[in-house]
Amino acid sequence: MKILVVDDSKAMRMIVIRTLRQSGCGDHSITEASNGKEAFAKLSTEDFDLVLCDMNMPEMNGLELLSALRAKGCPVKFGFVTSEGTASMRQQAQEAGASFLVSKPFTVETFSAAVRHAILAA
Amino acid sequence: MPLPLPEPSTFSELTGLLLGKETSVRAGSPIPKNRRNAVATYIDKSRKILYATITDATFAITAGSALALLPDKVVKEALKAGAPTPTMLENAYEVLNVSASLFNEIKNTPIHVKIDKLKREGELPSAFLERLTRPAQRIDLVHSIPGYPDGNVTLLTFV
Repeated sequence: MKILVVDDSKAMRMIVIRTLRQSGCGDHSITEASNGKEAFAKLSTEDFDLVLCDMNMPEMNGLELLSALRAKGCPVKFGFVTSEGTASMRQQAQEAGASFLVSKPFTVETFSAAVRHAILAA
Repeated sequence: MPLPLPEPSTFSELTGLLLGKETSVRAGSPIPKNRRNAVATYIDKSRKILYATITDATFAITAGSALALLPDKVVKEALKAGAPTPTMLENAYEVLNVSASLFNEIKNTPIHVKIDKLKREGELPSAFLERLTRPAQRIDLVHSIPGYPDGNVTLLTFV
């Protein structure tokens, strides 16, 4: 499985990747992008099975990325990993086509439950 | 009545989860002007600044280092110099970015803010520095991360 981790913070990308490994997903191929624009470019040239994406980023934010992907018919499984964990943000994420939202900070357990569910459903 | 501030314990719960360490907080004192290092502002939809966090250099160095597990040698050098490296500051920004959720999850306070900027003390206009001295409400905290010296952080609201 190919997973794209999108976050403007290098440290957060590292934490997400570390947590993926702790969740038993370390065998998957993991690629990084530092904003929505860079992620969109990667997703335009390469197939991924899952995108784990921050919400607030420069260039193109997470919701804009997801909307752009869905607008061009890209069905990739998409989950937010963000500090935006309010009910209204969760609703916005779901309406935009996200499969899940993990709010930062997260435990290995909450992260693992969301990601494993998405991986199993992929 | 001013906007409420989060419970101090929620701040250490957040940093503990984020840094993967048993962090703690206790009541502190306002950070003296010459020891303030970075200030993060939090804005609502209309870009009005509702909250801010002020940190000293030690908080920026320790939280910024613990987040990315930076080597001890680099941490000691930054502490000796009294200044976070750009990487430490970028990581401290992320800690304070995630801290926005604390303001958004205060019970019975239907506001939504996100971090706007993290600025060094010297980059802030004097009018804003003056505003920092008269918040509507503030909490001054000493923040402890095991294995690191204590840092100081202040949460405040202007409204």
